[in-house]
Amino acid sequence: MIETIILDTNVILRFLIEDIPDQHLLAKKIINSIVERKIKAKISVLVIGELVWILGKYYQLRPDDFVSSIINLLLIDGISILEIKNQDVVTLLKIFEQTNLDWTDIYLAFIANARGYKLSSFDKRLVSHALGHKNSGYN
Amino acid sequence: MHIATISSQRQITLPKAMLDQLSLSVKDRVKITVDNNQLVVEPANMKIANLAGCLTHLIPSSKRDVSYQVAKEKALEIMVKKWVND
Repeated sequence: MIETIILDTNVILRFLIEDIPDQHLLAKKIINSIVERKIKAKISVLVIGELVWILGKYYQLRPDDFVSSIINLLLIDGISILEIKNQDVVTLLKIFEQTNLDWTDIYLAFIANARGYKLSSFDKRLVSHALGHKNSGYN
Repeated sequence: MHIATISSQRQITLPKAMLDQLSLSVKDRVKITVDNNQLVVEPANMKIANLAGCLTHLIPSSKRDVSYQVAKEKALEIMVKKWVND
């Protein structure tokens, strides 16, 4: 049985940014092992959130600078998202790119819509977002 | 250019010459998107060499070689400053 690993934010960050040579090399080896089908990997939506947060807030990149790179990573066979379908995360990343809404808010709106829950939020923009019609805010 | 017909199963046949041009073969995955009224089909498995380090050129030199822990702390500081100012 192929071993499955969980990728943390730093591994993905160091894979996408080649600034600390030994860490980049190690991250590349891990991703290559996945591509060569020696191991499988899982990524949490929490890690995606941390990734978009650190790339945006610390590295000051715009969503359209990095969203396609994350999507390309998620398209690698052998990489899957822990909580929901890869395809759904791709959709949520595209919403993030277009709206720059907070990742957690986008994820909550998606879950609320997918499972028929009502989203309780003070954020009118989030609540009115086209993710679903079942949600309403308390403004 | 190639004209294809969408079958009853919503399938189309991709010309071999075009696949060869992109080094694509049977069982390879492709990414399909709608862009500006066009259906764009591109190789899904981007070459790892192209993806590795692809954001490096966007990172200012002052923020290179910064450990993850430090980057996280600085990001938090930036957020806190923003909250205070708001």
